[in-house]
Amino acid sequence: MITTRIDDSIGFLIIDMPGRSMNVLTPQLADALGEALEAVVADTAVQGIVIASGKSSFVVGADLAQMGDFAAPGVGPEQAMQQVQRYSRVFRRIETCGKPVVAAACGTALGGGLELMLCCHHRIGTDDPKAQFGLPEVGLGLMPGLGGTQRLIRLAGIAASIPVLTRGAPMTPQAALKLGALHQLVPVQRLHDAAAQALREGRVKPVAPWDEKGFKLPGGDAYTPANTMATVARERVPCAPST
Amino acid sequence: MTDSLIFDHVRTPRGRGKPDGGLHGATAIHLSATVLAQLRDRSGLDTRLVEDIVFGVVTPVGEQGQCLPRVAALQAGYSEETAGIQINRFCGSGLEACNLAAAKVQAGVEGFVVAGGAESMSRVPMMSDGGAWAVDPSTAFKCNFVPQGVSADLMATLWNYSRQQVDAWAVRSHHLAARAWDEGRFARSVVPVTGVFGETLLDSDETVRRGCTVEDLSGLRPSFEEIGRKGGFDALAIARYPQVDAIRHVHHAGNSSGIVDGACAVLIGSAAAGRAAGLKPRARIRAFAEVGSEPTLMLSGPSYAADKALRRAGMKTSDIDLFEVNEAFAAVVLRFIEAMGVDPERVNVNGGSIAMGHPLGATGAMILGTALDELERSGRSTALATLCVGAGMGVATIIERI
Repeated sequence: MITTRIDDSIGFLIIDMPGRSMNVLTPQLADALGEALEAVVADTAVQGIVIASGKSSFVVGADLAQMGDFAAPGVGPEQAMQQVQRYSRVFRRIETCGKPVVAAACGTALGGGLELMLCCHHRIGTDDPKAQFGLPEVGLGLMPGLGGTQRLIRLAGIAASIPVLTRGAPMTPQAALKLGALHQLVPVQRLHDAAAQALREGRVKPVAPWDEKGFKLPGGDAYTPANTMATVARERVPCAPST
Repeated sequence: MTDSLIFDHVRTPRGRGKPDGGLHGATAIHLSATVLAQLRDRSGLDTRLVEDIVFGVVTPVGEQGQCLPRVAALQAGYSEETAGIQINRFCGSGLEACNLAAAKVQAGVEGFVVAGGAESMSRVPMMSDGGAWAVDPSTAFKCNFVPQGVSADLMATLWNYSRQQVDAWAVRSHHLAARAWDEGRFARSVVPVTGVFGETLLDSDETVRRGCTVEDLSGLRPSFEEIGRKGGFDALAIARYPQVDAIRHVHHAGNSSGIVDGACAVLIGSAAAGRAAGLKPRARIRAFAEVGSEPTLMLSGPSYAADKALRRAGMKTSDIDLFEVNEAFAAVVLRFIEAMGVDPERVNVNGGSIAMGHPLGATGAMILGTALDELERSGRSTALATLCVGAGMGVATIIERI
């Protein structure tokens, strides 16, 4: 599922799930990602890490077929929490491992795939007009449970994040760049080089902004008037068609 | 005048007042709703009988702002007819809330008044609300402001309490709190705080240090020496107390009250309210008192407040079986014991804030409840609770078990 390639002090972790046209998050993928991550973190020859995909898209969400596991008979709140933490532990570890991590996304990153990007210290997308970035979980009656609600707000502020989180509409790469969810857009053939270059030029700090002392939420806290309006405003949104 | 009676009381455990504390994930509203709900549910109380909720919240800003007790009551599902009001008498707020509730009942309020307090010091740090006393030079100069810790060390200097003595009192606090927990002395009154999945966030006071010794504390540097010396506050204190040559700095985090999160609710009402709700009263509030005291020394209020409460009750010190004196700093309790001439064996018999922490707005109500539980456990009759208060105040309450 994950191939590790070390290229002159940069460790590339390539996500490529066998037998599928697109990568989706599964518990097994989370475990494999965690293992691959620990190996490059422990490897003293590796100074920077890139997480990329071997497919034409990055990661398009969690495997819906396995989402039912959270609500299976006999699964109580504590077990459900543990199942979620199987992912979120790896995500937080990416953020705090001490080495700079770049997410290099070809094509689309949605849901858990975008949430995976958000815990990387630098995020590069491509200028592919068909690529989509977003957190569409609400359309399925879920919410972005792998840190999207926490990290997007800390990146883009409350007012800008609420529509993204609550409407679930996908964004173009340009819109994602403007929001702050991406740092850079490059042509797809330059993607891996751009990731390596960002690391080699020392442009990637191995710390999330919110893990630095003195971090303040962009755009102010929930009491700032613009943000209060964003949190209390109600609008009728067409329901997703039932399946 | 109507008797004011205590029918029940409930508190949360006290969580360490830091981001790694057990209650850091719980807002003050959630802590308050927890105790209000428990108070209601365990007595089958019809909350239409609760006229008002008086809660101490010393830092009523951010999440703790906006008349917290009224909002917490709505969150807990109390009747719409139950009002709420937040008060601030600094560290004495929780006990003052009980006193105001008692006063309302004594003045003729027909239903119950719930008193108590809440403070999440890990989420809304102390002094987030600002204030002029320390910071506005015209005020600070006029009031001869010195920080509380310097006042505590001044007290230790004036009455000659050694580092060894204050540390010994701290060890006593931990030892007795640990014993109280081990013997289940708090079991009746502590309600665990749960999270959104019903998982337990905290079920016991987590800052108690079993087996703490004076040696453990002896290495801690006095916390207020630098601000006293460099900030000039020692000199200000001595200017008001010229009999002191130099302040001996003996207090540190280990012999001062702990910074913690917690909430408490006390059900107070008249005998008629009790009959209407089918509840038996547990204690009568005999008297309460509030005083102002010298603000530079700041922490000497308890004995004056106690004296005033005793006078109002027509009682003598020797009529009181148990004392709860908030352990803001060890010297405060040592001074109270000397000033009142009481037996230390009757004071803070289940430990105090040094061990268990001092959730500012709630503590006063918590220690009153602790006193009541101990009266019932030991078969004794009367207790007096008192706290020293910022800016030089004291507050006290006398209860009699029924």
